[in-house]
Amino acid sequence: MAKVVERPQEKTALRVANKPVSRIDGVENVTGATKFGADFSLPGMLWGAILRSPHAHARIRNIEYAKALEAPGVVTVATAADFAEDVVEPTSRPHNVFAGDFALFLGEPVAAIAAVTKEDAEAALELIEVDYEPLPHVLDPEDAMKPDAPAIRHGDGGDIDRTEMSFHSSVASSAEDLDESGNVSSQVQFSRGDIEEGLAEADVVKEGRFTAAMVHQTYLEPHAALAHYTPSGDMKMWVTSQGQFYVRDTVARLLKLPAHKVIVQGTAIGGGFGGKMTLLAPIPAILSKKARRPVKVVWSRSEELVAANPAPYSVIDVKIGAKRDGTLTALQGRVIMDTGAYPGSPMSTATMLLGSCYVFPNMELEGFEVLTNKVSVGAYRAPGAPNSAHAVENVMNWVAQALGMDPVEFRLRNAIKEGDRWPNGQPLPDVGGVEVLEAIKNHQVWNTPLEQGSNGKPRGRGMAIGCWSGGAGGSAATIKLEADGSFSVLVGTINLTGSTTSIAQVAAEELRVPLEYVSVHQGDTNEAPYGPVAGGSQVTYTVSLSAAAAAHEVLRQMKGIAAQRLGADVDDIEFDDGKMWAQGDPERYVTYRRISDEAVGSTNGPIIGTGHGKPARGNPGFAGTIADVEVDTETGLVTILNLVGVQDAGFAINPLSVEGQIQGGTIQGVGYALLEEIVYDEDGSVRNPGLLDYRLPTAADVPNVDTVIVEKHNPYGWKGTRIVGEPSIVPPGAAITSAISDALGIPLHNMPLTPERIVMALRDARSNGRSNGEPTS
Amino acid sequence: MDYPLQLTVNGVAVKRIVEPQIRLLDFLREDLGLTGSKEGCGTGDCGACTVLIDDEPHHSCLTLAVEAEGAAVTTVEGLVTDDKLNEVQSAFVSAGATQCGICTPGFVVMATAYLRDNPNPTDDELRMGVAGNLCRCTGYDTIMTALHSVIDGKVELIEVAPEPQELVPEPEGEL
Repeated sequence: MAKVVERPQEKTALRVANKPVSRIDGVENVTGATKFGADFSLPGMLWGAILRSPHAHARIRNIEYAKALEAPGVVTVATAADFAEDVVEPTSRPHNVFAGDFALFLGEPVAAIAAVTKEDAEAALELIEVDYEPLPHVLDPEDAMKPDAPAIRHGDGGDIDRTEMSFHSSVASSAEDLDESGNVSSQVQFSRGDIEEGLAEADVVKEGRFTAAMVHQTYLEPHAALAHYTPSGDMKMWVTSQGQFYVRDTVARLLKLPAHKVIVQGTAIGGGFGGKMTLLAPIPAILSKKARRPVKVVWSRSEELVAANPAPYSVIDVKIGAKRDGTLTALQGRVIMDTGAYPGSPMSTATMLLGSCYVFPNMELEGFEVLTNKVSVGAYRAPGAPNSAHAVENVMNWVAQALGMDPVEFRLRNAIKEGDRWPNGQPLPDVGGVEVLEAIKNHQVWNTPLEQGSNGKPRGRGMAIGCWSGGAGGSAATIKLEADGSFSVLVGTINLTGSTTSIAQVAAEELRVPLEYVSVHQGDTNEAPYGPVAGGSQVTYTVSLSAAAAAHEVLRQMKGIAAQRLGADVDDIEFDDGKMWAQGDPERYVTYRRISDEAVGSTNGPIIGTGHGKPARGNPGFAGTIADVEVDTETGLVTILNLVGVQDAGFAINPLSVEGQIQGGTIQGVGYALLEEIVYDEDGSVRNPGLLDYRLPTAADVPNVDTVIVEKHNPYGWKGTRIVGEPSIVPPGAAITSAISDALGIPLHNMPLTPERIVMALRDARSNGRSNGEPTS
Repeated sequence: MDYPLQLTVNGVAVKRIVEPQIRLLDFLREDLGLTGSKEGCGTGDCGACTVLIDDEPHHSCLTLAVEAEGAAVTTVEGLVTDDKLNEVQSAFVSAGATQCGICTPGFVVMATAYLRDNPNPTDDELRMGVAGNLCRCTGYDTIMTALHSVIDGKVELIEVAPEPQELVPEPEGEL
């Protein structure tokens, strides 16, 4: 179990909150009973299949599908013509269900078929005749910025919809978009003080250029959606998505249906990590509307790896200056982020986060979002933040080394605190950066010198911290008192991370009943109160507030009935363990069961309460990693010896769940650092569209993660709760690459550090005759 | 050409006419409605579709249904006996080894077979033994905790759908 530090006193009276609870859906999961997206079917259901562009960039002159319609089993075909009024190229990806006049990346959907069987649908795809005029394409963002690069945008561009990115971060990037032209779809700048002066007064300046690969969220459940357009004009949908209301709104807009007629049930979701929003849902919806029959579409893994919405490749330059005493003087940074074929990357967040952990009196940051003919990117757990941290934290370690300072002490001297400002000017609430650093400083691994092994393989240690702003959306929850004194909670948010269990803990805590007396139901978009997308780590952060508010409303109604029955004043009613009594007389009580009975027959009517919640503001979450590695210099293989994950959770409603989030995020960080990369061929096709060659960490690749939960009270969350899901993925890439640098004595700049890259970096370092110089790998 | 297939699935004799190219995974999911086995990749790289064929673990996405002719197939749905989860399933629940749950069915089927054949593996052996099953949520920590608790014989079997307990008795007489 995780070590928990910083426990406030009031926690002693807690009943089920802040206690490790195994997921209430656990038994369903281990028996195969949980129904995920692909597990739903309907009588008369058709299967959909998608025709994808074989070109990275092409004009679509004509699409002819009469032959496909005549093929066995085929019922209907859909193309961009079915969404004609919405196709404005290029806005954001959700506006472009199918390629219109231009295909902008290899794998972009061009048409879809609904047929009686999946095999029929797939077989008929090749009967669709598409007249393509191939156009020059560009895959590298730095090439795409050159004046002679092929233009990826056609027409006037239209307004860019950045809705999806806004789910993940509640922090506004205040810099105006500047000078949009060519393939640069967006730019930001943040500045403070005088960068030249800041660099001039530094005693040590270090800099580097860092790349992070395009990686896939690789939720193990591919996208799946079932749509049924009924004769009454209802669009009923079962979709694996992080946000059922977002799916509803997108489908309603694209198909021009009233929101209440699009009824979306978010299914159990087999992982999302930011990548599962609305990519697929409009396709079965339009097919069903045309076919007047239910249509299901399930993506293959190769469709996922070629054409979903992975995390962006980026090139980040960072220069940091500090005085001899360790005071930071300057940060200069430039982010080039490859957004793929459509805008909507986390470029501005990544740029701002360069200056998010420390106080830099002088700062100059700029960011460029660049279009290329690759799949457009989306969100992946703290989008853009691992890329930023990789750059900043490695340079911070170089500066500390040059100053002869301990890297944790150097960071503590400059750590950002309450009232300090982020690059966008926003003053921070009380964040836990210092507490995370203290937890690293005090950790047993950090205080045990790393000994070199006897096998001759060099070992190294690295550390890094990082943070994530997180979301703070509004939500509502409804609670009913049932006939036997138990409670049911209704929410509209997706149970992505075990939030259902945490919400049950919140309700049980407030209502003072055992957890077994509370069930949480995720209703469809017509049944359930609104809940935000499960992104930005916000579901537990916001729904804990709305569920608590609903519980308070239910208790208010219950106390009224108890007071009447007991002949007591409503303000004197006390309650616990499923019963209410008047203060000072606990022997004479009414049970929740009796209150439920009474309520039904009373003028109150059945007891039901709805609560609304929205955290007053987002409050960034900080995390830190310590990594010890051993490197085989002949093969380039890295073995991780120790991995410590520290995170400030504010108040861990379910420490078992928080610990699981830290472990999972940290190991995804290992994927970033060592293994994962979507590799493109020159023609724009993905060279590794399968899980054999797109290599995820396996159980044999990783050690256990030694987790530490820090609890720095957040005044805006329920009992101090903070965002949890995302921060843990931010620092591991930086910490691990730094540890490998430490082992090899050379600076390293590129993620992932595959065996090949490590061997090449060592060869370069040898041939350059230096072991600790400027960029090599 | 259709093929008359006879096999046992989770202890029940099944007789169906199938097309010979149908994968065992599709036969289980689509024909029999046993959707517990999952397709994460379709290429044998993720392990989410793992089932037991005559007690041996196989990727049902790489197995044709007709290859299971005459065999006894066990899916995740067949691991519960006498209304109790098996040791691996129980350990997964208790240790928090299931997060999103999509890899869980394949993982528990694989681990059940692995620990049956290797009751006392080292941690390295155990990790290698289940390295064919990918999990994206847990980082494998809690899965290893769960499997070590099975190895150490410390698992309390969990009852499926236990009877509810009365919270508080009604007081005697009228208030």
